[in-house]
Amino acid sequence: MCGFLKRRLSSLSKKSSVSNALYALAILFFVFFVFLPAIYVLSLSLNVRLDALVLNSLATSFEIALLCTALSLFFGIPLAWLIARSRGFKKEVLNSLVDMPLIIPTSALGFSVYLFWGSQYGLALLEKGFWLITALHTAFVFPYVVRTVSAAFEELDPVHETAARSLGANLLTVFRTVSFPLVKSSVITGGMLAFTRSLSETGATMMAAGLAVTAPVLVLQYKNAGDVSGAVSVSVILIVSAIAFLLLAKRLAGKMSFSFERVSPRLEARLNRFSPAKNSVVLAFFFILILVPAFFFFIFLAQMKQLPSAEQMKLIFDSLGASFLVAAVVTVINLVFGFALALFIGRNKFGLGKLLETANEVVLVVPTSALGFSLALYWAGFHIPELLLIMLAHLSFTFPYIVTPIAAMVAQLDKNLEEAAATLGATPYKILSSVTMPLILPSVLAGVVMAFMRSISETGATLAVSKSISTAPVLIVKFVQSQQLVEAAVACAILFAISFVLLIVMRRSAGRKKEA
Amino acid sequence: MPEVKLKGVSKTFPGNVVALHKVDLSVKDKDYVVLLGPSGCGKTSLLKTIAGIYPPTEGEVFISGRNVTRLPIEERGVGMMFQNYALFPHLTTEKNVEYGPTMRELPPKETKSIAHKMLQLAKFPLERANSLPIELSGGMQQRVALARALASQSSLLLLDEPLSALDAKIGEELRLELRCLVKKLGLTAIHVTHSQEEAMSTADTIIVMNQGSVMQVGSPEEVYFNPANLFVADFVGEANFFEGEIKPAHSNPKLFVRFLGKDFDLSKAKSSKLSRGAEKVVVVFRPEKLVISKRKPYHENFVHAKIESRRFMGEKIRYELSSGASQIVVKRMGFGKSFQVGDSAFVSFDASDATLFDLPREHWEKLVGRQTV
Repeated sequence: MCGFLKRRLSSLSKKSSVSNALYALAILFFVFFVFLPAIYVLSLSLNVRLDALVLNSLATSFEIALLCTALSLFFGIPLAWLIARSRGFKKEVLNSLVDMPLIIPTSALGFSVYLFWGSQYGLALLEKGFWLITALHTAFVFPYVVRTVSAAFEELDPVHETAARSLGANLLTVFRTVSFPLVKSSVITGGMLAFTRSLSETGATMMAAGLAVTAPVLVLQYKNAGDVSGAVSVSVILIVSAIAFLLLAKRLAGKMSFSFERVSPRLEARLNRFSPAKNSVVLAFFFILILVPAFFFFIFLAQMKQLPSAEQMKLIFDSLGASFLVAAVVTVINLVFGFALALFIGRNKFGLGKLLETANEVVLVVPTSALGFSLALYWAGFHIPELLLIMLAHLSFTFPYIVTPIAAMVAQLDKNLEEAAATLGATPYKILSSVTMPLILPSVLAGVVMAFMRSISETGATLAVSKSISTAPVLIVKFVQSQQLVEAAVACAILFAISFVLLIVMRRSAGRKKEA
Repeated sequence: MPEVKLKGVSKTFPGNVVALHKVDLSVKDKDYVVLLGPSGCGKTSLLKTIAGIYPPTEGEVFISGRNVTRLPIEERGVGMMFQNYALFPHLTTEKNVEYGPTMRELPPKETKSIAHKMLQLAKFPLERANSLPIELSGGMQQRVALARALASQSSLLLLDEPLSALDAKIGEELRLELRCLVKKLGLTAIHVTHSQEEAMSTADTIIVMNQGSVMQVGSPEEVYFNPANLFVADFVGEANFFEGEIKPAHSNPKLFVRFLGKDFDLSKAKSSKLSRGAEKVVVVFRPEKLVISKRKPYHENFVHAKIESRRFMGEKIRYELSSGASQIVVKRMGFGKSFQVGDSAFVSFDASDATLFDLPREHWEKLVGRQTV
């Protein structure tokens, strides 16, 4: 049966009409289930009302996003450099520590940061409001910046640095004139990622917001109050400004250039002596402002020594069930269509690759609460059950996470390999399964892990479409809002534990497949 | 004036990989020195130790009499050209060349004029000074790399396989220019290569290296015709190796050696590397020092042989002959009488063109990496 199926697939794949039909299906899926729902709200642009509340919330969002991106870049680039240039045990430790906050779902991270900075169980230094949100956003975007930039530093050929030194440049000058310009595009990518993630964050922000209102939070407030035109207004402006920001950053990436004459090398040689001190400052920043706050909920739990009631535990486990069900279903569906679309983009069929890639990037930068609200409007006429609607929302915003890494890898793939397989008599299906697939597997797994984790930790989109069903992160937000801190901490711990184990299992299986 | 001295320099990499083993070396001022050896012999490690890229595990490095062992690269003031040029991909040609002078904080005007002068010296077309490295051909990139190294205005130039990324013809052209320029500017150059041809045609002094140690230091002629050991004889150019046996002297001052099935008088051979009382020897001839003829030579230094193969190489023809179980390689000029495969001929030699070495204890065919006996 299986053999028959494979033969059938092999012979079918020879017809270009069949593969074109599959591509068309993937594109239709992308357009009608991912892209259009995400920006549907823009069609209501005419109804936008620009009152002070809307504009203020937008300004707050942008200020926070800019501030936390700037902080992350300022401390993240030296840390990335430190990681890339260290060896052995030190490197492994730093690498895993930087990854840690990425594993904690944002609402858990937000709760933990709130406990650390804002509650009497921690330092109680910051009131709920602007600065607490900034502290929270910095903690959660920082790893994105460090990851992106350190990966770029790792790929740099050290010979350029050696050459610069042989011409008399000290280490700091080398960094400024050679290494940094060469990773410029990754710095911009990392900064972009941090900025858009901050702009889109909803659930954790709600815990830390107090009287401050960011744009995504305002979307939900309007939606819950039944003010559709208010929610539309904020969503439209949020989406438009996010897309404008994306385009601006892309523009900037091409134009920005550095000149090396301006700063005196001798001054930098003097500054260079403070290098060890700089490393300590950067590490201190990372530990005190990122790592400890991110994991503070464990310390809190240890202090409390009590468990929620059985009734509350049932709530927690129900929400976990919903979370993982949604994440699993969505990841599988997206993998099927995302893979096909990634092949299409990576191979740039009919010259449409660039267009679809940009469309994916647009979905990626659309703040999720606006996306969720937009999607709810898009599907409003279909009377879709709540759980399915949550899935549709997650389907949309996780899709680019699967497509982007696979498409990038497919585009890099040596075309000769596939052509060689064809000259050896392999059918297109055979080529895909025996050559292409094994080579791009790491990117497929990376995409799956990212999409899954994003779904598990999402709050904004879920809150925007749900009424009665709570996923785990949403439940945590609700617990915190009703001051059930122990319940929130337990939910965080369980959510973290499951995500952690899953991530390790996925990485293990990825590692094993690579060896085989 | 830059002389370079190394005293007992060793370099061991993690995992106990020995790259350099107690190297003593001295490079004279204004000398064009080529470090020659097979890959992994330590020549690049040696260059990088001089540049300051690798700190030596032990030993000391002196440049112009100054101990620079603990000095970082940027303070050594050397001009270096890297194997794949290492041009800064984000800077234009001009900015690449200006980089060194800028680091020395020369005024912008001077920086620019130095860059232009060096680009001209390296024969780089100035109208392309605003191109990025990626827009240039390999040969052009090489010229930019040279100009950049020269612009550091160091009188010590370190060249790490500077021609290996070019195709043969351009490489040949550029290596002559390189030498001319170094001589014209009165620089001291240390040039690393694995190509013995490149070494022969550019060096004043060749340093042959193997397994982290210096095998021989000498002029190209010395290294070629008077190799210090079997390794050098084999690595530099082509050679015939014959296993031989010294005949007992019986108070006869003459040195008779039996090889290729005959006894020959090798009293005039270069035998200074032979140890006292040696019995088993290796007799080495360069292929162009052997003569083939149809007529029997008038002297006794010949063997009968049969032409097995003939390869036309342009100015020379390379013959492989067999004599008994042995194989003999002879090269002669491509004009004059030519021999065909299957012809019988006489192979003769002048005893003073032979070099004698002790027969190594191990299988020496393996040592020199070929089967000649």
